[in-house]
Amino acid sequence: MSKEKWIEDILQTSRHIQPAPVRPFLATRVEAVLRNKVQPASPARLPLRWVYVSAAAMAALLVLNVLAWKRPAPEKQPGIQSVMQEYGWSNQRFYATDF
Amino acid sequence: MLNFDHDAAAFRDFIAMHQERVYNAVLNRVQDIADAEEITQDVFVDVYRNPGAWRGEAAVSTWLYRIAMNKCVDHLRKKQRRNRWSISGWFKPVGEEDDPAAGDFFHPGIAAENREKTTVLFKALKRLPHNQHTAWVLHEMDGRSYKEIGDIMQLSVSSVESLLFRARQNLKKILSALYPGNL
Repeated sequence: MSKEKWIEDILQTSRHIQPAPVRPFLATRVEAVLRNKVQPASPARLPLRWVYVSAAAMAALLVLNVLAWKRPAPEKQPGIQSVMQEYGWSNQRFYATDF
Repeated sequence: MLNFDHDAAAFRDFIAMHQERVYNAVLNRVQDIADAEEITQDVFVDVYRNPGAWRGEAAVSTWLYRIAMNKCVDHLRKKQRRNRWSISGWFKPVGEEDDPAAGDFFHPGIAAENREKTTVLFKALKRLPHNQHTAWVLHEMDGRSYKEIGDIMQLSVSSVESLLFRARQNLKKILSALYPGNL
């Protein structure tokens, strides 16, 4: 069979489709849906008070962070070095024998 | 004006009168029996809830077809989106994930001798753009006139004609690639 004839045959089959039977009791099913269809539940809402509390907490955290970031850092005191200086030990004289 | 609020019997009669047409148009469009049943059911639920949407400008059947076809397109788009983003889609071979022609559909109203040809036709139809597919189903499978299709799809008769012309051209191209002699 030629390609054109085959294509035309396929297209013609559109007209040879018999109506398919509908599953029985469609009306009963529709009525059941209408009876049982619950209204969609309204979306859960957060109480306004909680929204304000969370916003305030976040603002407070932000302020604390900014303050902490702006405060000048304390001068670094290298602990071990200050102790060594106080007792007169230094790295250069670590192996000296003239105590 | 339709109103079924206090008349269950009238609503049942209405469903009985239109169910076969609506169901078959939907079935031809979505190519899935379970989906077609669900969409048909939804169409009548919508009709019951909002009968005032029919203003008497067109036949009731035209209005029903419009609701049904819109629901079909929504359903198919959702399905496409779901398939595109599903995890199983990530593991399919390249090029297969968006293939709309995957899976064969066997229409229950087809004689055995035509089954093979119709399966190929349904495969090809799935690759058409939504509006061309809808126009083809309504005209070629459901026998609606250009005027009716125009009313259903809210298009002019000339637009419907051109839509059907393009659908035919595209189907020929798609079928040409599916021709068994090519293999």
